[in-house]
Amino acid sequence: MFEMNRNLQQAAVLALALGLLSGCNSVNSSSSPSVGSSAVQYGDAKAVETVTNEFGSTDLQTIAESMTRSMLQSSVIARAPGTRPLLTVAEVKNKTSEYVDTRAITDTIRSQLLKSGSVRFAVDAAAMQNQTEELIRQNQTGLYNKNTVKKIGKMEGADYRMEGNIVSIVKKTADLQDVWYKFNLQLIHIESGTIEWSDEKEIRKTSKR
Amino acid sequence: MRFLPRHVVLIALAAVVAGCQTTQRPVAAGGPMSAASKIEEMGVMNKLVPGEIRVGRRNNLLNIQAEVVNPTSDDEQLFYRFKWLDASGFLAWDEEPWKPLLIHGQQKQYLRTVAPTPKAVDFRIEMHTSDNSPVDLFSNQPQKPL
Repeated sequence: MFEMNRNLQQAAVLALALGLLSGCNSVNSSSSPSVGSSAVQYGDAKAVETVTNEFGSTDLQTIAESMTRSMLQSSVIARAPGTRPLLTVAEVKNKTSEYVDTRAITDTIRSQLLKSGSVRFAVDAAAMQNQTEELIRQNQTGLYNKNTVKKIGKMEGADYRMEGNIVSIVKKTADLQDVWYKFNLQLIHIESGTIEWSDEKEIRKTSKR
Repeated sequence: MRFLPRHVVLIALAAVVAGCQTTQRPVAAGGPMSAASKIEEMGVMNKLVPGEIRVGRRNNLLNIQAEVVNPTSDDEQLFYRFKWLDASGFLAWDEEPWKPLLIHGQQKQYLRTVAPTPKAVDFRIEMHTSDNSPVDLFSNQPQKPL
């Protein structure tokens, strides 16, 4: 009996040692789920970016957020719970002296509004070619099951058009550069042509030269 | 088990079940509230002081207004963002971008926002300044300098 216990003890110690060894292997300090140089790092995509004072990710993100939240409170969207107005995106004109991808701003605004569940968006002019091509392909090629073909003439017209502009004023001295941006967005009722909502977001960035 | 009266066991079971429920209590709308339970300072802000927070529900969306005071005579840069929680305590929205806000010396500023979704019933405000002191996570007090 005593001999049997001893054997069991030995087996347990051996199993423990093996377990520890295999554990040590799995936490090898040189192993890491990454490949490449440590000179490249992933950062916080939502961090405040102040690399230069040109239009940057923080400006895009804060403008989009500010406009979305303001629009969600507007009477256009808030007054009729259960009936989600149909919007479409028109142009946001870039009147600044630098390149600003205004489409990226309106894309973010559209995504956030859609995610809120308060509005719907109709295909805008930029995506219309793809939309009509798809309808034509379904209806005219004869390739599709007739029961699943989406009919021509059923597209919904938007209630409101979203458009705006971004302007900037740049001032420079020998040692200072100041940039002021103003982003303006409007919701225009398409049938009546009335502006039903508008808001602005201002951003000032100053840097030493 | 036979030593415990049946009603004691039932009460204990009910307490365990109640403890397992993680329903997020919606924030009371209307009145001012203490900042302590809603603000995450990421350390301790040495120069800015969070003040009163007001919460209201308009158009089925939470409206927040939080006060921040700069009692010093120098300008101070604050970085902040809101986190939105649903009724179960889960995050109800994606991470917001950090927003910079310059608060002048002796100035009181308001952080105002609206919840992005009606699902948001509670919130937290993350705040950070460049001279935040680290906090001792065990005592929840500012760390003493080494």
